[in-house]
Amino acid sequence: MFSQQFEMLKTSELLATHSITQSRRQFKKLKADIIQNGVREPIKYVVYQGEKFVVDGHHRLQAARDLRIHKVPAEEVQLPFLGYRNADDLIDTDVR
Amino acid sequence: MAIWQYDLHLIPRKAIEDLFSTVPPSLARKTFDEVAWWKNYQPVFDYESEIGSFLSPREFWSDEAKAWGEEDGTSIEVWFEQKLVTDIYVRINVASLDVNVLEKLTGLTARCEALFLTADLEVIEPDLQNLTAHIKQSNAFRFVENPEQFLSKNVDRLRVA
Repeated sequence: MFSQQFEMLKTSELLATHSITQSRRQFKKLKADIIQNGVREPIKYVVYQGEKFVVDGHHRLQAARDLRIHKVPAEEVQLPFLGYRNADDLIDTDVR
Repeated sequence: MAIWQYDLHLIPRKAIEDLFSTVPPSLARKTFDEVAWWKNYQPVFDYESEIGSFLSPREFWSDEAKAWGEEDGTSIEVWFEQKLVTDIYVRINVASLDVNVLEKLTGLTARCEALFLTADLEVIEPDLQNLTAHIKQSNAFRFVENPEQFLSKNVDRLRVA
């Protein structure tokens, strides 16, 4: 299904930008789900200086690596927030 | 999870105090993973309704968890084993911070008699000022503020990770 809609990339091509934050219990359940159903959602990445940096799907990527799954569904996205105003402005001044 | 999300776990204050006598500034990853934090301190109020008052319930891939909010936005997941809460996992969308949601979240955490545990395993009080200060120090915030600069500053480190 994914191979028709999304590219399949080697996990080694994708660079994580975030560490694992789920608890070991949660992560174990994610891996069990991936064993049963595969990686259901494509991993989103941006290309910067020729490298593919993951922006969404870090746990799925790490789970796939742990399970020795070599290729995962992936989708290139553009940097999503470049057009946003400075994030500092997004925080209400009352809580600064 | 996404780079623009700021992640937190809720940990019962009493479970931490049981273990350390006091509240330490941070936890070791091993400690975090090995302790069944909620085992003896289940939330005793209708937390599902409270979460539902500020985030909409959503379908979730596991039948061992309930989830509210958006997968790649602000989200709360409550995980269960044999109907008992095992984890409460929060992801805050730093790209569209909503102070009302942060207020509700700190209120929920206080009612659970819990503390926030950050992605760096720092233990912080459920206080709005405190939370926003930590968010502003986070990678998620730096990324949202200037994605290219964030990647540029971290490109070498990320290549070898």
